Amino acid sequence: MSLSPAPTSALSIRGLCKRFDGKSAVDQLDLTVRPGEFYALLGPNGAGKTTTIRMTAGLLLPDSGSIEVFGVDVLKDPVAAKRITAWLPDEPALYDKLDPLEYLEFVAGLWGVEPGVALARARELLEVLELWPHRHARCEGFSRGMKQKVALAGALIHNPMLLLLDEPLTGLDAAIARQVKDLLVARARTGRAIILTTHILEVAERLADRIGIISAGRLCAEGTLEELRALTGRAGDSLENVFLHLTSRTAAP
Amino acid sequence: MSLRPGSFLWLVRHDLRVSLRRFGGHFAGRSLAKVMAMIALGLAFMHLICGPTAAIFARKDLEAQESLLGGAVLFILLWQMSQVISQFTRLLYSRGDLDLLLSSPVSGRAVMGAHAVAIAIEVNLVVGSFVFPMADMVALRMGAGWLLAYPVVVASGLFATACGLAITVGLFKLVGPRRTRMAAQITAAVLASALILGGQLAYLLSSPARPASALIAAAPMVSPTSLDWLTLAPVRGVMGHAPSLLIWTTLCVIAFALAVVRLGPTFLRSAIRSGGLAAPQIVARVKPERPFRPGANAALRRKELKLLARDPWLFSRALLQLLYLSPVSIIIWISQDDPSLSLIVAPVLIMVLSHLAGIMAWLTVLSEDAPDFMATAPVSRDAILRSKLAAIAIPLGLILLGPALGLCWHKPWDALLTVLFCIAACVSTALVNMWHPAPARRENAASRHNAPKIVSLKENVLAVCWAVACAAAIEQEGYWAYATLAAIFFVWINRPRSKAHA
Repeated sequence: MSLSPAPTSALSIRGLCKRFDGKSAVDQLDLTVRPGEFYALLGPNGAGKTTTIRMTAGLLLPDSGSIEVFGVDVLKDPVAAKRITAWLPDEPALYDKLDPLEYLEFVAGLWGVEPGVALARARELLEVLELWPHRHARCEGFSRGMKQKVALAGALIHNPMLLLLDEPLTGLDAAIARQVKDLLVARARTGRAIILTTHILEVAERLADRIGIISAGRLCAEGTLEELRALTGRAGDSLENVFLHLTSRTAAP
Repeated sequence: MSLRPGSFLWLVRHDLRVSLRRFGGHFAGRSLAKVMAMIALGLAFMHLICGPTAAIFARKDLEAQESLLGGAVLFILLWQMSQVISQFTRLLYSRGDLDLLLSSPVSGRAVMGAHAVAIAIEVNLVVGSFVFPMADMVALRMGAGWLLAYPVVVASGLFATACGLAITVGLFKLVGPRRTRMAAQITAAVLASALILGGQLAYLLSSPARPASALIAAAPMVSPTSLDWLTLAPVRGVMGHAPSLLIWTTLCVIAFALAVVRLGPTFLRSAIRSGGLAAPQIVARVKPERPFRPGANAALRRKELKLLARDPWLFSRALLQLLYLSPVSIIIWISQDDPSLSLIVAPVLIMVLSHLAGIMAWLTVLSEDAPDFMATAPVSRDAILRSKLAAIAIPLGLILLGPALGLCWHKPWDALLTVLFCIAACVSTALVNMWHPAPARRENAASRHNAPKIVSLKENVLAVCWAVACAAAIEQEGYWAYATLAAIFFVWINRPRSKAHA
């Protein structure tokens, strides 16, 4: 029996297309994210970031193209792909009447995590996120930031290989945002791939190994911050200026 | 009509417009002409089914008519009060535009008065749509004087609004802002069922030897000798006694005005206090630490059962249904050898369980709080649906178990038929709910499950079909097959037509 070689990409998107009511949301998108990489996907509103993330998470079917997560075809074997993927939306998808521990037990059950391992991870995650004292309080009383942290713990409880984060820091205060960022960076250092969409460019500038800029459903630029600066000929410029320059160039007729 | 912004009438118009839009939301996607046609058709149907009842009423002697009217007046008043309490509680907790109005320079008394008037009108329209057709049909047979039921019922709506406001404020003071919502839901449920249940239980307990068959003919009646002034005045008002009508309407208007003036400010203070509940508040709970349990399907079932058990709206609805079931237990207990025992028990069980099945299917399948999250889980949609349905089956089975075992003790064959028809009824009402979705978050359940009125109507049609089929099967009447086929046909014509629903 020959072993298939380890996949060189955590996420491989090829020729991805999605149209809504005849209007193109994602148009022939090619994107590759490597294992252990923290990848920031940036773009103006309506550029196709969330649609791309939702197709990768199995929430939307593309019109055409292919998506592979660590070599698993998302369209042909969605259950296998979902098993190694986690998705965290900007609005935490929680159950108000469950407490954090019950929620994590539920998520761990869905992903088939061995109960002993899941409980140990739940404790670790809740302690890191400073939610352990509230583990038996129902989420209905939580602030938005606390709910987002519970949702993040849910996304991490099954130790996903690919973490898809759609605006995960929206509405979080500075202290909570710092906690979340530290946790994500630590995950990426363990070989997990993280894809993050955000409008907070400072976050991408500080955290991302590589940045992809998407506009009108296409990847218009990609690389490290230095490479993007070089691309625009604006050495030492902020990501904000680079981003605005690149997106305005693409948007121009 | 041009009204001064901020005036009392301007606020009333605003409230009525909001109520009208909310009502219009029940018919989303339909043209005004179609909505009007549906309402007209519904009213025509109500007049049609009130016809025979009016004929029976007309044949009664005066004393019996007074007794029946006394029962009807009490029933209508309790029904209106139940509706009013629900409306005031919704106002306290759902807020709507209350925060905006309270933060504006408009007089609080005017705001409260406008809300109370709008609630009284809304409740009168709801209750009136069932009661006024009956008044029309009686007037058709016995003379236009019986149309005085209109002002009597409208005045009763004002009185019920005053009582409902007093009860809501009282509950708020008694149990505090956190528990008032639940207490009010239970009070409304108990009030709605009080007269029917009270009448049935009093009847049963007063003469335990009476067979269940006698209950079929029993209707809530109030003896004129036991009527106090509260019921006498409206009863005589309906019967054309002008001074009684005047006394009743005057008293109701005064009670309404007094409630708004005296209790309105207290209600608004309560509203401000309950407003604080919107802010997140962590309630610490002490629970023993226990290990996680394995299994995706088991995790799904556990989660659904927990959410069902912790749903206050479902609790109040289930409580109401269980209250309706309570006389069934007594009937089984005291009417052991009665040949009509199964005929009483089976239809009630079917009606109650099918209604609960519809609500639970709606809550578990369509009110999933995290549908996108569930779609990202490595579990197939079918497995998720199966687990959700299993979670519904467990509480329904537990409710069915007691009466079914009681019936089985006396009439095993009837018990088997009852269980089978209950299952069929539950499955069909659950399917109709799932096929005609109006998805929403659980917290909006109270407003959203009632939204598709047409689905509620379908639920009732199915429950009646299955109840008739079961009763006929128990009686070994051949038409059980027709009723069963009618139910199956009804389910079939309601199947999803497009792939989107599949």
